[in-house]
Amino acid sequence: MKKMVLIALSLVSVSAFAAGYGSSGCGLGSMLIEKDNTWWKQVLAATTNGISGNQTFGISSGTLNCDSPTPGKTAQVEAYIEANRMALANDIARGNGETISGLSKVYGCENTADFGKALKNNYRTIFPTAEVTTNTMASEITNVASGVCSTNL
Amino acid sequence: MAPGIFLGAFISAASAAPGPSDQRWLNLVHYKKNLWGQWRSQADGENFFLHPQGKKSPVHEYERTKELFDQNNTEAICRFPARYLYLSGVNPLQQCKEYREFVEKLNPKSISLIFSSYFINSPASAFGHTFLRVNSSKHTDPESSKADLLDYGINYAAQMDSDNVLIYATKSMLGLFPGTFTAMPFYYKVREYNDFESRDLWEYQLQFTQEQIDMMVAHMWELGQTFFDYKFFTENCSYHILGILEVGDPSLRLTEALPSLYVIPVDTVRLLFDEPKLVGGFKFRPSVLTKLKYSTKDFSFEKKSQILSWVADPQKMISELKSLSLQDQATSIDATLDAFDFINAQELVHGPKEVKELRHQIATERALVDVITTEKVPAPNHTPQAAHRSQRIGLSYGELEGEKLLRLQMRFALHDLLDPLPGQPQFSEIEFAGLNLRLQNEKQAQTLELDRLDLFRVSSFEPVTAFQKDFSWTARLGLRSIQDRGCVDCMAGHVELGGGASVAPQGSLSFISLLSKLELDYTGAFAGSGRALLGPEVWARLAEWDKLSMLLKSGYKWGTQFDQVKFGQGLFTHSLELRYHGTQSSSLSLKGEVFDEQRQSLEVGLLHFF
Repeated sequence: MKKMVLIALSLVSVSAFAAGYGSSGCGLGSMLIEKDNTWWKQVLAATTNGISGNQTFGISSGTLNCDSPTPGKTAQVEAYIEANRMALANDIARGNGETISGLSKVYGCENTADFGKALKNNYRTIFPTAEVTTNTMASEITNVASGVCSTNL
Repeated sequence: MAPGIFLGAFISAASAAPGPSDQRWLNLVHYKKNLWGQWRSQADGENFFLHPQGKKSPVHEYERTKELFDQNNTEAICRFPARYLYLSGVNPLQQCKEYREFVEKLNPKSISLIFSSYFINSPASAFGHTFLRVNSSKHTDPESSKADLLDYGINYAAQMDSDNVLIYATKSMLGLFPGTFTAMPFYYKVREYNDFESRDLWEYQLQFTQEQIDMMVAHMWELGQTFFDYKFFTENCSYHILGILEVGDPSLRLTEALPSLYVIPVDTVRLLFDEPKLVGGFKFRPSVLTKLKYSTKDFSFEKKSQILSWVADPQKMISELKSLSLQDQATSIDATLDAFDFINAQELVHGPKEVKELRHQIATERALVDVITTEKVPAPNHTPQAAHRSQRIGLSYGELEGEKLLRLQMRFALHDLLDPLPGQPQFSEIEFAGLNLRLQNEKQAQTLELDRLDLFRVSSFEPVTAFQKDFSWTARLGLRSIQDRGCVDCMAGHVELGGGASVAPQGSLSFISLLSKLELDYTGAFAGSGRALLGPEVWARLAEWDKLSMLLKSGYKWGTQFDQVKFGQGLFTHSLELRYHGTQSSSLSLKGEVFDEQRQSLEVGLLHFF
């Protein structure tokens, strides 16, 4: 657990001190955050850091891979799919949801409901295994989108 | 219609002459007066100033900025586009490529303030967190909410360089961590708060003109390259977020309205509502726990147990689903997915492959069921803006063992188990700097005595449910005047620690908790300079009505002086308190307490939140 925090911290500080937002493309990355409910850590957190609203044990680290230059649309889609992987699996399995609306905008889909339905029907090609790569997911989703949306990707 | 009048007012406000003492300039460089009435910028990065005296001198900084801008110094202009926009009226997008790319990426059309509420069993998070979201669509656009995952969050946070708890605590108290602004896609924050930490998000749409939004975004660019010493109590996330809003609209007086000792994020949300027409509306984004509670709200205990068994064994789910109707299959698997995501929130990010594999089986099965989920989790009635204020003062009158007494109490923050629940953690309490004084007639003389001083008191009584197995606990540190027969009216350093479990009726805010509790009193009045008390306690809260709450605590303790090994005779302690929340900011209290068989008190009082 300590290791996790250290990784998160090093990533956060690297990205944060990288000369403002200028160089930050903000790419892929899993969220390395530790939530620890051990009571004594809570007490300590409460007495030192509580008011900050910035949890000791809930460090945010969204801006990973920020040294990549302004990414193209494909990279953006992949970053989105990677970060939202779990939520996307839920929404696609259900045929509706916010992450689908987001994709819909990226692909310029007129009809989000149809897009959602089509994604649901193709669930097994988009998520063939638990370990499917982001790249595969992205290209399968693009395939679905090209059938339903007037995509310009 | 009188557009002329409106336009006239707008022009006069926008064209007030720029100058070093103009509020807009002071806001842009974050100048505030210190205790001696001197200007100091709160920014701590040297590169935030163009003049060597810039941190201390609004005039020098203004003149140097103007000079460099007059020379058309691209480096200065592109580092400070908001200052340039302010001084020249031109947004230097043409001239500054990186800044232009930043603005294009954000595509700012509107601004929202996002409040992240507490997470369960974590009283420390009760204070919440705030950040901004720059929206690429207008709030009035019906499509706006659809793709806000893709918008950008602007977050201010301390950059911590240590995971050692003690170093961390020390440095945070002393303000030794630099605080920086970061921009990241909003979906990262949603995944972090909603899914990983299971915290609800509240999104407040703020009403700004496009000019004001452009100014704020230009200023965000300026802030991105500097840092502020992170002051955990005052200049924290919420404080600096308000500072950005003031750059957009200098007529807002937000940071000034904040208490000077500390800034609590939930208080800043309420502050937004004090400004007329600033908040245009709000949206609720449920956490994975809120989703789970909603999707299982009509389920029996048996059904919940079944869902829980499916989470562990998706193959069992697949075989048992067959007997259900198509619609029931869909709602059952939806609930299973929600339960899975809540229970395995950490493992899904850090855990072994097997966890992802199990989840994959459940989701795949859901995709096969030809029903589309359209239901949305509604926003709760209890909003953060309805939360009671953090500071509380109280006055009560009563009797302690036949003696009349007047009690004065003051608490700096934040919430106890009997305070009004809207917008606050439902099963937690967190109190800082609680002071309690007694004015009493003793032996014909008036005495004012310290009764209690709590440095902190933190408790969590999250009830055990089918899906949540949280441990209940309470901790307290401070001074107290002992009232039992062990040593009446002796002042002692006091520590309390308790742990146990709580249960509550489904959907209810009432709970009952069984704890085992240890109390330590350090005072010279005891041989061996202290004593320990140990024993069971029952806490029961009744909170079935919005206006009324009741808390009963009952316990039995065996005690010992520190130099004795054997625990002596026990103490029965009981207390019962009733609160009636008459108005938004005040409550009536009635409290009876039994310190031991011989010593009791009864008091009636008034509490006021401010």
